[in-house]
Amino acid sequence: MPEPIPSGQWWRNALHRVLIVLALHALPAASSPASELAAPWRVLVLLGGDPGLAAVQLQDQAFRQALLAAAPHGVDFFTESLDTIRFRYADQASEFLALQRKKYATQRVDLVVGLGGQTIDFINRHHDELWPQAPILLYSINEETARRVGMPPGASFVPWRHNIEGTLSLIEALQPRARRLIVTGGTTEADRSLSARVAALAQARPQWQTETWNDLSIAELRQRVAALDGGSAIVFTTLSRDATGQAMFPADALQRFASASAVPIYGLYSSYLGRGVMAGHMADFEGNGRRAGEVAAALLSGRAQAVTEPVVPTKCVADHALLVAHGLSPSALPAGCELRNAPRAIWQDYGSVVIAALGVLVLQALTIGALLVQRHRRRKAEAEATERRLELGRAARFAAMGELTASIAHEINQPLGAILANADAAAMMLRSGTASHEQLGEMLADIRREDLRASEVIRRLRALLEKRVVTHVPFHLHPVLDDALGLLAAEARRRGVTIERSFDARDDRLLGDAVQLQQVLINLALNAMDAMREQAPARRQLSLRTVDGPEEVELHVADRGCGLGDVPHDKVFESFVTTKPHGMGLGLSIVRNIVEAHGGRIDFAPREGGGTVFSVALPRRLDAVPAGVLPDGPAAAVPT
Amino acid sequence: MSEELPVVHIVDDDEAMRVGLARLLGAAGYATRCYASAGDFLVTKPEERIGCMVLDLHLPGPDGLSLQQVLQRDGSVMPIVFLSGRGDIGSSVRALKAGASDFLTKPVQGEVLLEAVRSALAEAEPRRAALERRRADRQRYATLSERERSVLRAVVQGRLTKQIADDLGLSERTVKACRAELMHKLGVATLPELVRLEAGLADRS
Repeated sequence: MPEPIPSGQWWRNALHRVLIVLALHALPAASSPASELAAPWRVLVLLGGDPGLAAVQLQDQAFRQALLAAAPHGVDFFTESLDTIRFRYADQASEFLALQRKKYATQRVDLVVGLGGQTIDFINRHHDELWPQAPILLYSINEETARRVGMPPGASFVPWRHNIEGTLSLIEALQPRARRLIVTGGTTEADRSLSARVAALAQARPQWQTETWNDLSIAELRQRVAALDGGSAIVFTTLSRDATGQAMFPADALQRFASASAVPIYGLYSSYLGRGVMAGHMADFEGNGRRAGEVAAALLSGRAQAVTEPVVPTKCVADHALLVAHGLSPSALPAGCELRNAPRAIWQDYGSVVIAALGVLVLQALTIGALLVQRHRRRKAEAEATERRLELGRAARFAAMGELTASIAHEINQPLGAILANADAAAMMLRSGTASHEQLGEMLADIRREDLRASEVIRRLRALLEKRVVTHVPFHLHPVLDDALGLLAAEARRRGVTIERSFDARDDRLLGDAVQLQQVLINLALNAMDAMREQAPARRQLSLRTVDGPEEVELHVADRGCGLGDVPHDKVFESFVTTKPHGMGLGLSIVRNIVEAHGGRIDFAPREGGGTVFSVALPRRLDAVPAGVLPDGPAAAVPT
Repeated sequence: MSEELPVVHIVDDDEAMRVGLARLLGAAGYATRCYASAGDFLVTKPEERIGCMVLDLHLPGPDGLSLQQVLQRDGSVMPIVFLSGRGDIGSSVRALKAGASDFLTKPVQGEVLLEAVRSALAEAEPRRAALERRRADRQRYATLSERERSVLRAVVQGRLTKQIADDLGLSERTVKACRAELMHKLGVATLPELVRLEAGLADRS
């Protein structure tokens, strides 16, 4: 089947070209003066039905707009209405005709347009008398009516075609189990005619039992549609007048009974949508009017004569809300079927806002996710850092103990040697029979004492080197420092360093980790001893003092050493900064970490008379340590 | 007879150690003397008798090695058994090179210590004898006249009687009589004995 629109265009274009050529040749002999060509087109629109009918209004309006758009000098519209639904034309023909004669006796009409099948008869009868020169355009008339009534000779025609078959197929698709088809309409001739055509086509489909309800009042119709069961479907044709003789607009009639209907109602006109029809194959009124307007423009501009336009295509339309109300699925609709009254997806109306909001949400979620991941990583890193700090602290204590190894070995071997000597002596005495009870008793006592001495050294070492978590408990500082001094004393002796101990602070209660503070003392003391390595023995004096600060206990570790050289003041406590040839530079940084973890401060200054003083201030935190709660620390091992 | 009983001098700063060692050595039949430091030992200045020292390497003030040096400078021949709280190779090598009898690390087993003390004392006896001999030799040498000492120096240098006579402006007979006299005074009968004695005198220790 050839494409109708391209062929029409080709035809119009060809005509246009021919007419222009003709016009150029015929110009000197033209019957119409130039002033007439510049005048507006004068068009008479003859309405067959009620001018208030939606179908009439929609088509007429679209027709006029299309024509105006094409008119070079505007259009003068004349409108006449036959209103054949309410009035029998035959009853008033003479008066109506007389009025027309009077109106158009002096008025030139360039084109007569008939809208609706009712106008054919009038135009046939009276065209030659009323508007003898005017060409005729008929539209909104279905082809069968045109055939039946007979078109005026030479008239142009834009035919209307109901897509009854399409609508019936749609019913089959949506309600495959329906067994009963009701065709309902009104009592006018046009109503009955359309209903009969629908019923005839429906009866051709054997699955349905088809009924035609044309002679019912609206009230009766309401009752009957309400009583229908689920296996039924209704096709509403037109209802311009009901059984009581009441004239009405079909869409209004539809609305009055459709609300009671238990089953879906199908229709052939788009004007029924929103009034109670669920679906149908419908012609587009505006499209039809527009097409007629274009044809009218072609006729008036002389580009065409006696045109018969192809049928305006119909389209499948369905009301989403009604589909849902009848429990039918939109997915059963044929492809390409237009869905009206569908709940608008929110982003049809607010698409950009929704996308923006979603974007914001996604970004937020990503940000939150990233923050959570970051937090998790930070926690993990913190835990790892804490773990490493513990390990490093422990390693540093091992390193410090490494420095003390010689002294510690001496500290342990001394009592062990004494024990062995006593034990061997006792054995010899017993063998030789020279042992007295008194002597043996003394020896055993010495063995015991020396054993305890050795265990004490080991206890201190173990306390210092144990793998352990950092504690946060109240303790007395002095016994803790003395414990560490016990380990340091031998080293000091070995290096010929004299330790001056004056722990004068009267309140030495602290909150924290005792072993860590022992490490502070050991690191500072070892540093001090290292610093004094080159000094004369008499100058190798290490002074350890505690004094009461206002809210702190202060520990001062002073040496007579070589000082810190040219290391900048603020670098001294950094890691890997050292003045020792084989130092790692971790001792002081660990000391500072420990002190700061206890909320304290550490600083250093040159000592009067040479050397350096390191000062550690540790807050007492008395609020957290009520007096008397503290147990006494281990007995102070006062260094020699 | 108490003079003949070997004495073990114990120098250790740790009292318990000191007492333990004294008990052990006492049980083994030795006389013991205890000192808490090198200074303590030097101040006491024990008489040079048969005996040995058990000396702690690490002492407050001058350590064991320093005491060893001081004693050697003063001509002491007393054998030293070093004790150390830690096995320090450097210190042990220095001590043994300087003539220490042994170097033990604490805790030391009784048997090991007693064995070391025994061999130190065994070392001490010939040393003491040599010392005594050298001391006697010096005393005899002191009785020599100036001329006899000059002849002695020349003889041990291997010069002939004639050469000595020429060097000193004496007659050969006088030189011979002088040599016989100094050999008699020094209590030696042969020339090799005389050379060995003279060499011993030259040894400052």
